Amino acid sequence: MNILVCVKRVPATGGRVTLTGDGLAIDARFLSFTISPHEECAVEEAVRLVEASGGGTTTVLTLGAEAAADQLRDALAVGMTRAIHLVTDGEDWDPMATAAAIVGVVRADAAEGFDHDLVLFGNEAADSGDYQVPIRVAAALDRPWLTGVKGLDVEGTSVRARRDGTRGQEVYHVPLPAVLAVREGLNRPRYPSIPGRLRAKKVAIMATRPERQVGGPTMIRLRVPDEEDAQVHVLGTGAEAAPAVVDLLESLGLVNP
Amino acid sequence: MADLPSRARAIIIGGGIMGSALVHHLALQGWSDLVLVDQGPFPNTGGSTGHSSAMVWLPEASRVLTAASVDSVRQYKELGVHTTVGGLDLGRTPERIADYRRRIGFIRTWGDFQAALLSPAEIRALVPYLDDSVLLGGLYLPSTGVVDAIRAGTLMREAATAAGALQAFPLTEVLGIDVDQDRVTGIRTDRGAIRSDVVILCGGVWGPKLAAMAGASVPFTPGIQQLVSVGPIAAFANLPGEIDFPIIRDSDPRIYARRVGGDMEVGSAGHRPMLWDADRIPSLAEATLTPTELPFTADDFDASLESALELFPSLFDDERAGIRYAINGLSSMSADGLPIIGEQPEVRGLWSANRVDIKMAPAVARTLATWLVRGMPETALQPFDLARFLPHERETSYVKARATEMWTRMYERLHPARELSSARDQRHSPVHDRLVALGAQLGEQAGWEIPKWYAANEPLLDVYGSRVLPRSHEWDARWWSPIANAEHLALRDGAGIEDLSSQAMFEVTGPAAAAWLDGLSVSAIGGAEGAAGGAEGAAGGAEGAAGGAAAGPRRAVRTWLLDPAGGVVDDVLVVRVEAARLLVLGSPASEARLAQWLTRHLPTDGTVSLHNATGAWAALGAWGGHARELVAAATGLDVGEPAFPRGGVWDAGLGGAAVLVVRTDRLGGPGWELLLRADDGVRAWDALVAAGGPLGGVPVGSIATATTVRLEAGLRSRSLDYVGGYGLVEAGVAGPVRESPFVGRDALLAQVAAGPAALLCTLGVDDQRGPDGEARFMQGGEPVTTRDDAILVDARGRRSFVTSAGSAPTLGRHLLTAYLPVEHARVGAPLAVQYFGMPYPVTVLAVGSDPVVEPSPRTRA
Ligand SMILES: Cc1cc2nc3c(=O)[nH]c(=O)nc-3n(C[C@H](O)[C@H](O)[C@H](O)COP(=O)(O)OP(=O)(O)OC[C@H]3O[C@@H](n4cnc5c(N)ncnc54)[C@H](O)[C@@H]3O)c2cc1C
Repeated sequence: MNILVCVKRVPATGGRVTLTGDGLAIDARFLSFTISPHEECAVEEAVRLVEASGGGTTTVLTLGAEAAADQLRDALAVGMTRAIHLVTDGEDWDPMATAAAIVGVVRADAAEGFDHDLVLFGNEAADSGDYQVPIRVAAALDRPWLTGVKGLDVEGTSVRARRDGTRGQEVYHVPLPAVLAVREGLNRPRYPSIPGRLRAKKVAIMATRPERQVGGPTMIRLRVPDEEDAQVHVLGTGAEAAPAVVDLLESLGLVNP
Repeated sequence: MADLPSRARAIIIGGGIMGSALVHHLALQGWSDLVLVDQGPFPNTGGSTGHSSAMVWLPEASRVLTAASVDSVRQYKELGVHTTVGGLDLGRTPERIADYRRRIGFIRTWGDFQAALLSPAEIRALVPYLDDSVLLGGLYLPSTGVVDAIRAGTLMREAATAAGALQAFPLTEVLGIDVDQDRVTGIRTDRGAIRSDVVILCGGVWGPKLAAMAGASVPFTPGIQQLVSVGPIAAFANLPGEIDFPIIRDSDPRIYARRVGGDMEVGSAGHRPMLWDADRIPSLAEATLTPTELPFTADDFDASLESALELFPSLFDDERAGIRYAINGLSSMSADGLPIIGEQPEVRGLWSANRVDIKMAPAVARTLATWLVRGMPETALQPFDLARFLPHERETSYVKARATEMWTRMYERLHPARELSSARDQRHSPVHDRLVALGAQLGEQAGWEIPKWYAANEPLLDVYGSRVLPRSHEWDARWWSPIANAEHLALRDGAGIEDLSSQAMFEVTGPAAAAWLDGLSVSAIGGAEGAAGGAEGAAGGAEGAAGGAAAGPRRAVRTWLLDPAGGVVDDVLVVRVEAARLLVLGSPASEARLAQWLTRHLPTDGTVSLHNATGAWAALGAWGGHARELVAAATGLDVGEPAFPRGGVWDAGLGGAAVLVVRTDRLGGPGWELLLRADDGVRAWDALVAAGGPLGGVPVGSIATATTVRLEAGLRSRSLDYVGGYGLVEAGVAGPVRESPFVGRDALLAQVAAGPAALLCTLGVDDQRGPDGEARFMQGGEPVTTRDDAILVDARGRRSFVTSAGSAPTLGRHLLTAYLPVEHARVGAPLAVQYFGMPYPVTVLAVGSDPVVEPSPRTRA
């Protein structure tokens, strides 16, 4: 079984988000970069499914600046086997353009006899949160799609997928090939091992510069909502603080008097 | 949260290990009304203390650092936060193993430490997880341990609070430091202002930023050290406890590894140097983790991962053991790798304690508190004193260049004569071009480029043949040349011409100038009236230099400056040029220390003014067998006795330049220093060299003058010999103590009354042949033992080690100096020195400052 997982490099923000001067991006001078927790689960799921199916490839794809290669290596370090980098100049690509580029990869792979049975996404990117790319990709490829997936089993030529719905847990039967957007909680992603990390270093990343499709929505600027100042009260130290802690928990209705 | 007080006796900024230990010691020493503020929460404030590996290696890399760690460990043990786990330094190369043998020797002189060289099999028994196939052995240091630094800080703050001496405020960010004129007056925080005339910066990597708030600076830079934690380690799953085998340090790939519960922590210095700016540290709110746990840059760590995997395949070659935590940790880096503590020169009342690791923070805190409370630093702290930096050493570009080099050379085998290669050529002598033209091999001191020897003197090798004591072993011959010994012999046979322009020089003027210096000096300088006479040079006589022979106001006196505890601040030459104008000359390396010492003691009434004239003068030395003829020929002066006695000062001309000719006898026999304006330097140099030609005079480098001639003459080196708590009495240079008061006199009298427990002696190596017959040359620091390999310990518990080492080409043997317990300090005593783990027989040749080579009859005064 072959699985393609799409990930996006995003800053790992701390408590307070600061914007760059032009208001178009997060000021990431002090920040590390990562992929969203949803995408980490997608990567983990792909590795597990291919391991369980007894063969196949796991391809990780990203569209982003040169530095996004780090995120590909991270995914390779936890067991993905193939990496594709759609290199951009670092500007933000809208969901239409992004989807078109990914569709291009799936078609190109197929043309070389490399069919992806499953294309996995995180439910939404951690930064832009458009919820669009998986659906656009599925529509363009004319494949079934499901979002919000929190459970997944492969059954022959289809998958059985679960997600939390308003009416309770929903269980779906999705024929392959398909496009799924998964949510955090699907699994517990592993940490990279030392051999994994060293292996990842040696994998050759396939890098191309895609043509950006025009016509999608453009972001004008970001705005950080006014934050409420956090208040810190030290209730005391050591055992003497216990009564105050109990009082507080009671006042919050967390314990009964 | 309680409101901030409006005033405090002292404000401590920073609640990491340094600030926390400091408030504890200030409270212990009686200060109260202390306020500590930190921008972060307690107990983990987000500083470096929170993510440190908190290892304390015992012993440490040097005598001074070991002493600090010993004191700290004692304190951590009292707090119950220290766990002894042992440390193992791995050796992958024969050179590294040999170096461990050498280190074991040093360690024997630093205290009663266990240290053993282990075979691969012994290592396997200790740490079964190690793949020993890459190892030749290891150095086992069982006293090494780990501390809980966060807990230690908490306990120390609590102790000060419980004593009623401290109020500590977390989540209080300092925004400004107020200064009035040049005095600190208080701080401003996001929760209000506090006034105080003592503010102590313990801000870790934020130090430069905090200092800048007061218009001050501290010369260090934040830098990154990477750290990962890997787990769960299958082999640890069922092991009890936190740590059960020694910390492993592998100096060639530059990594360390230690067990922390179910994980292995791997730290590295193997990555490229990554310096950081104090202004670029994220705030608590901005940081992904804490401000000092910056995003991990995985690429930089890959080589270290490979080494770790190679060492511990059974632990790490496991897909389930994940890298669960990985940071680019911030800590502080200084140009010389040492802490920087003391009162800021720019702002009175503003103190700082920077680049202090967990392993030494309690010791530094104790001594800094003493300094604050009693107003006097301990001599033991001199290497950490922030006054040690010269202006160029405070420049950011310099600090960064040196911090980078120190990082890359962190685990290198430390050669006593090593030279650094970054940030060179900071200061040039006026005759620099002449020296370079002569093929000077340059070494750095205080930014000056000082010739060690001259390639131009290579033909002398043919003249002296094997008398130059050639060295075949690479280590012994590093930063050395047989030409240096040829220069030595040429100096004895003819004359040596030395460029001394890099020496520290201070001009002291004013009606009270002489009297003031007199009050700082062991030997009498004479008061304002210019009184001079027989009683001068009290302690100077034995030194054989310019003590007391010349009368009248114009004269030169060789003397010492002591601290009130009797420690040697420096040895200097004081030249009284006029009744109210004196020059104080010290070695190049003394400049910063002298500047600070003299400035701190300057009277405030304006009767004395002090000017650092280093570099404004050129200075040339004329030494050796024909020095007298050389100076006479060059200057036309009558330099014979009694016209020109020791200590005499005359005006003359040299190459058209006006020079002050001073007979200093600095190297034992009669010798002169010629002082002149820097811009006349070249002319004077050329004239002196030309005059030297017919007399066999050659330019000589610092190895001959500062080491070999000095050793033969029984003279002391400020930096090498006045160490380890030995004073003038034990150095064998104290004469009768004069009546008039001077700083340190009481302590010196007490030293005289107590008598020496050890005496600095000169030893000759009897047989230099090592195990394979190759002659070896000790470099300094080695233990001196009995012939039966028993370490020598004096009645005050101090262990004998080689303070200086060098050739004695005149005698054809290698010389060492060492403080020997008085019972061993007798000429002819048979002893041994240990070098790279091998004993070599030595014999005491001279006790105290007696020369082992008398100046030849021709040169005798
Ligand atoms: C990866 C790594 C491993 C290490 N391993 C070891 C080791 O094994 N052994 C060892 O001895 N050392 C080790 N160190 C070094 C050690 O951690 C530091 O030298 C030590 O913790 C410094 O302590 P500190 O109190 O000076 O600084 P910090 O702990 O950083 O404390 C400074 C404090 O000042 C506060 N502060 C700064 N600015 C302000 C402001 N404007 N207002 C209020 N508060 C302010 C900060 O919040 C902080 O709490 C390691 C360091 C790293 C990075």
